[in-house]
Amino acid sequence: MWSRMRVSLRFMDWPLRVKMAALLVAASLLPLAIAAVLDIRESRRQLLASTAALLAARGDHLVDELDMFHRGYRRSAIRFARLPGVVDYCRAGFTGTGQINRTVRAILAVQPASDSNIRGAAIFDTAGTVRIATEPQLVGVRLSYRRYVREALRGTAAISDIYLGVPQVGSVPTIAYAAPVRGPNRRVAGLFVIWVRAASLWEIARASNELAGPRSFAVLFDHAGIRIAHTYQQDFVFHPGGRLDPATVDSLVSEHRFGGKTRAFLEDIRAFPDQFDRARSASPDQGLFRGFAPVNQQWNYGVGRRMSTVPWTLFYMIPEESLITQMTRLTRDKAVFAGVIILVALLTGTLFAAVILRPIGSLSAATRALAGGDLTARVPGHDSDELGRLGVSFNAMAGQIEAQSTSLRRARDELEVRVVERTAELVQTTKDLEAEVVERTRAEDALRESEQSLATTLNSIGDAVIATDRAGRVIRMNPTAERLTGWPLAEARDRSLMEVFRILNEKTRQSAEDPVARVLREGVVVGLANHTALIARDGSERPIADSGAPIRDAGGEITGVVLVFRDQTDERKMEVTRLKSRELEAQSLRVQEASRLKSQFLANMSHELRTPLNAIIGFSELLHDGAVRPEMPQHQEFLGHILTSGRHLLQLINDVLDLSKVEAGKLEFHPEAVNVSDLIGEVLGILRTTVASKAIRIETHVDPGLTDIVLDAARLKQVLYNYISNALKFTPTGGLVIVRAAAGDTSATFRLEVEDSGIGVAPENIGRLFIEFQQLDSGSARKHPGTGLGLALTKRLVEAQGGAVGVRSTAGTGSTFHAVFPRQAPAGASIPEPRSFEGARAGAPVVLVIEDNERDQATLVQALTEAGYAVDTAATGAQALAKCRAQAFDAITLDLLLPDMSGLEVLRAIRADSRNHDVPVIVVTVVTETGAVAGFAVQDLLAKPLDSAALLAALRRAGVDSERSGVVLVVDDDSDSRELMAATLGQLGYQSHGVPSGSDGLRVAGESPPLAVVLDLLMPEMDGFEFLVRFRRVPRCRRVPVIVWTVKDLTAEEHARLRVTAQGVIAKGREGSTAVVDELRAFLPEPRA
Amino acid sequence: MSGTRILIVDDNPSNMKLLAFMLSSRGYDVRTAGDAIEALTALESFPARLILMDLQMPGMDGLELTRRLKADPRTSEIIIVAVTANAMKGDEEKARAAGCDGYVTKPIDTRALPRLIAEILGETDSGGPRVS
Repeated sequence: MWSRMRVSLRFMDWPLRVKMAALLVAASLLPLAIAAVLDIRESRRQLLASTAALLAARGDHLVDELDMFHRGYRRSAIRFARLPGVVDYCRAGFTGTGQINRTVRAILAVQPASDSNIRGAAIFDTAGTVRIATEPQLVGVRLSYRRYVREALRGTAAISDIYLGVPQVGSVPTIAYAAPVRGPNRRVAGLFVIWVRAASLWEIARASNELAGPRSFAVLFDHAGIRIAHTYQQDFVFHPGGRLDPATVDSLVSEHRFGGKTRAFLEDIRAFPDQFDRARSASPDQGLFRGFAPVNQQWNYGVGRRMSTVPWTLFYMIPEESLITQMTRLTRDKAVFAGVIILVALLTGTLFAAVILRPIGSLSAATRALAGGDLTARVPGHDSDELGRLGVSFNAMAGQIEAQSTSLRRARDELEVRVVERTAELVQTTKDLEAEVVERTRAEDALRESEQSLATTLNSIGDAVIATDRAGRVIRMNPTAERLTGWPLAEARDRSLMEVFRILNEKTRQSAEDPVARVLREGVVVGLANHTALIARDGSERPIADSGAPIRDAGGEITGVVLVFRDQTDERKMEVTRLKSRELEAQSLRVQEASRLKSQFLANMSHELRTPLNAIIGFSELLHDGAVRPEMPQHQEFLGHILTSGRHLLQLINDVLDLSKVEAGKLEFHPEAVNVSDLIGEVLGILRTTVASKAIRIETHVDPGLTDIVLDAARLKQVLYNYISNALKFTPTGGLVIVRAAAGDTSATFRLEVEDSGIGVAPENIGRLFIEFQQLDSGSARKHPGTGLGLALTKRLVEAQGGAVGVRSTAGTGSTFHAVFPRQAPAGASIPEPRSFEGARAGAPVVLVIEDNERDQATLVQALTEAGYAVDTAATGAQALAKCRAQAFDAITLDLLLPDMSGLEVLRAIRADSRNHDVPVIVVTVVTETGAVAGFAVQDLLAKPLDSAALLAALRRAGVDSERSGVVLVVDDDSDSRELMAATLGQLGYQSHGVPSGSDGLRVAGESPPLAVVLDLLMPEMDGFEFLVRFRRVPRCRRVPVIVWTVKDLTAEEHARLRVTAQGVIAKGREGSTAVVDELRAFLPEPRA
Repeated sequence: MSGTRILIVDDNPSNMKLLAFMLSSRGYDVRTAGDAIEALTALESFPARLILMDLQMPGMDGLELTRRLKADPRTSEIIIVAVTANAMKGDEEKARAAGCDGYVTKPIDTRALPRLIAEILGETDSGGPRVS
């Protein structure tokens, strides 16, 4: 087998040892080779880089040295050009005195003497001609064809290229340094020139040879690309590196650059294209370049450097050959080293392979033996490496195989026994199974029965039962549920519960939480939300009560949810009925309570009415029966009791009526502009007797800002009266009552306050204050008589006008009652025009005399005044009209001839103005023709000269009588009222004439106009309103004041009518007959004595 | 009848005056009291034979006072006549239940009341007031 492998050429067939050796060789050689190649390449690159750096360094150094050389001589030339002797010489026109000449010659002589490199020095004139020189043969030679001369003459110090000197002094390569000598105004007056041997520069260059490696060298080109210096070969100069263009050649020839052989030099090209191009470029590429140099006939590496003093380019170069030699040596050394390494590696590798492969060989043999059936085959010897461990493993494996083989054999024997046993068992099991099937069938029958029983039970339940699985899908519904939801089970099965019906919160109309979700979450029986409604399939809704419970299997796991719903429609109906009946009960109770309160009120009323009536009737009987004779002292006292009780009774009745009207909403308010301060004054006036008798001090504080109050004055007065009289009642003698009127909390309200220093009210009683008949008697009430209705009425009056009342009180120190009103009566209340008193006045009637003639005017005034009229006069039409606009007159006399306008125009204007539109006008004029006033409403027409009696008669006919009857006409169908009024008027000194009907009144008034009329409104036949209309039609009664005195409650419309036709309205029974007379007095003259 | 002591209990001064005048002018010995406390005080020194009792009074009302007087053996013999403005149905029953022996509603009849009192007292009214 081994021999066969040895002869095979395929790698697969090579012996393991050979393979490993090959592997070792490949593994060691390949990287080595790669490393070597990389190394050589790197060495080469490094060599080149270091060469370039070296060349550059050398080049730079050399260029610096050359530049320094140039600068030195240029500086010398400049220095000498500035020497006074030189300057003087040039300024003197190069002739100078002997002294100057001597000086200059000495200066020139210094040059070659001090520096052997210097060939000579000279001074040129501005034409470029040598005027004085160290070489006498040069004097007079004109060198202006040299470029440096031309350049220096332009004013800058110049350095020449290397050239061959003029023949007069031998053709020696030279460099000239020329500096301009400045004359006056810094003009160039001449040149100072130093000539230096080019060989001295070449020596500097040559000194750098071989400095950058073997055979390295420098070569210098001028700007035209001509070699001007060489370190390698001194005579290899003055040849261009490439072909020059003919113009350049011609220019150089004309300059005699290289003497007579200039052209020959320039045409002898020693080609060096790289250097040629670089030298001619203004800024040559300074990097490393490779080029073939004619000087050594070799390829060279080099760098170019430009000089800074002159446009020359220096190349420092090294032949490629020198570098290759170095590189070859390097490569060879490395190859030898690598070969040694490979050899050592091969030897060591082969040795190791042999050692390693030995155990593999024995393992291989043992394996073959095992495969061949030798179960006892084992590997000898154990190294502790992997192969050694492999051998141990092999031995262990072989041992196991041997052992298993033995146990397998044993197992096979046992298995045969077991198969027999198992077969027997199987037969038995089959028998058992058959028995179980019979058993199961029986159980299923029982289950079916139970299921049927369950279904029957569920079907019999009146509540809806729905079972779902855990996912909320319907699995069972009883018929009630089917009916409630409108879904047959067959259709609803496996549908989501929410698909089958919805549950709403009846109040919010929001969907209730999914009951299944809730039950699953809580895991216990839950009663679902209250007030739920179920929306069935057809959208119908019914109230339900519901509950849900989890269904648990025997293990306690929740497998679903059972929901039970009860249709509550009927229950709800019953509930509604129950609520209704309860409501009815409550209503009935309320009615009973109201009835009770009413009875209570009536009982209170009865009591309150009877109490004063008792005194009135009782005392009246006593007096009437003559038990007390008028001369007895008790007579007056008893009358006082009757009067007090009567007034109390009246107050009570008025209060009750007002209260009932407010309750019934029938009380009408008549808002008008109200002066609160005046109102308080009026109320205090009414109460002044009480105030005086109890010596109570009253303080009033009225906010002056309360100017915009529009309310029912009478009602406001009533409120004030109630509060103030209440305060007075409870304030002890000598106490203080404060009345305040101020702005309210908002700008739309104002506040009345009445503070007393009385007994105060205990907190527990404050609530009773504003309730009817709730006098806080507590032992002392009869010291404070009252109807018990005042505050209750006040409260209602204020509230009816959109206000509020309240009280703040401390028992023992006093109370403060307040009422807050809107400043303006609530919308809807009419605000009538202010009352007009126009046309009715006290005293004599006023007659306006319009007369321009002084004498006639005096006559008229005298006649009228004597007759008792008040007289006003106007002399012109304009004056008359002004007076008529300002005042209403009772009559007017008019002259038709006025200075400014005609009498008829005046008349028309008077009639046009409302104030006097119906005033009686008596025309008094010389124009006797009555036709002049035809069509004009005049009362009478009198001719001048005037007859006084005729005038007075005319006035009387017009109803303007200075002597009014002095009688107050009382029109009232109630004789008691007439008598009371007559007595009241009589007491005050007025005569009165009472008539029982309107028609009687008109008759009396027609005979003689009364002073005033007191008129009842409610009369049979002709009522007060009709009377007023007719009365006002009587000309002489148009301006008679009428005070209406009535029990009638006036509507807003009636109020408005009376405001126009009557001068005052007094409520009969509320304010008493004296109020009527007080009102009348404003319109009446003082009664005659 | 002369000198028969009558106590008038009434919180209304006018009414008190009226009754007092009426009865005193008929020769009765009249005392007045404005409320229950005054009445009880007066009775200490003035053993009245009859009381004209207003029922609705501040503080202790007439009914309560009547009950007290009737409950007290020292005063239970006093004839109590309610003179009241409470004239509604049931008011008389209440008064009688409290112990009032008579019941007269206001406004009183000045002619009838003296006769009634005389009757109650077992006397005959003289038919008019005596003025001394």
